Amino acid sequence: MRPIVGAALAFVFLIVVQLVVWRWRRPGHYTALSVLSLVVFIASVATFQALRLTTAAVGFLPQSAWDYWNFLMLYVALTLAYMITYSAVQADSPSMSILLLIEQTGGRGATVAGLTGALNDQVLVVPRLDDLLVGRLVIFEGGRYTVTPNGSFLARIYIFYRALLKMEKGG
Amino acid sequence: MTLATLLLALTPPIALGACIVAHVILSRTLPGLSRPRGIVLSVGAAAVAVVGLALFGPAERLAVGVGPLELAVVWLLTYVLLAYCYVIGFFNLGESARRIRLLIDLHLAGRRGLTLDEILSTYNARMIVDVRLQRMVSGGQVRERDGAYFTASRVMLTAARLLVWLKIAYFGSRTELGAPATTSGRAPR
Repeated sequence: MRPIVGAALAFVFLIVVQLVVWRWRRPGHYTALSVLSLVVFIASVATFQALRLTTAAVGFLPQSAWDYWNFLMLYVALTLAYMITYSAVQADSPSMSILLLIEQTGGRGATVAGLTGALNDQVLVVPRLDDLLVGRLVIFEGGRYTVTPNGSFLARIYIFYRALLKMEKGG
Repeated sequence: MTLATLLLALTPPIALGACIVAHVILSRTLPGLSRPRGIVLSVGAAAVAVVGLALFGPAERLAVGVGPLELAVVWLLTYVLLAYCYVIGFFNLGESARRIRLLIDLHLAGRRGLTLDEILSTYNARMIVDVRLQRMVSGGQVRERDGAYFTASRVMLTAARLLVWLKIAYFGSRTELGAPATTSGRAPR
């Protein structure tokens, strides 16, 4: 279980560092968390190796190359899953917002008019356009939003994938 | 290191590939199959293969001094997390993410692009709310009575509250719009 212990410790370290850094200065670009997770991975490997060399009582940490390989795969999977979940935390989910608004009515129930009054275009659509601009997938010039080559590439992947699964237009 | 040991060492990502292939095949050959069931079947089939390979397969070739059970736990955990990334981060994103929908609309508009009004004429808050309500009613999370909507499942509501707590922990705000601006600030409109 050494890879699991190693990945769990490195992941907890990542969360703590992120909580401290993000409360102080929240980065705008989504790659910031990827960079932080790489830094934490390198720091974790260095710490595990230093502990192994200085003390014998760390048998629960990765020891061999095989341990480190499994630790790497598990840590990458864990941080990717975390980044995806974090992205859901960052943006207000329409479904979750609807549930919270219904709850706020205190048993009277929410109407569509009431829901769309609170969840309007400025809340549900415009922030997501901002995300595309910040991620440089779209540019805004002369009052028009235009997709960049990177944005087109990503859009093509999803168009192909939807056609592959025979999915209808999403969103 | 032989090709066989290299492939064995890469069992979790290879299993993810197998899961995606199985999901595509199931979706194309059984169009009547519900999406959640298609996901469960494809993720489950590859998970069984991962565990089987670790417990009964040629794992001894790796000669790493790790027991089959331990190997099964580590591989399964890694695979399940990768499958979560595929389902939530790719499949679900393609199905319901507003960013992807907007990106595809802008891609289809070509070099001319779209104004905000043009975007909102084909995709807007009213449509988003309607689709979510429809999904949650059919999924049993919400029920409708005399034009009013009520929560029908405590699980989703608990998940929504959990997300609010996480938002407070990370950003010091209950909602995205109340959170402090990022270092790159808000984009122009």
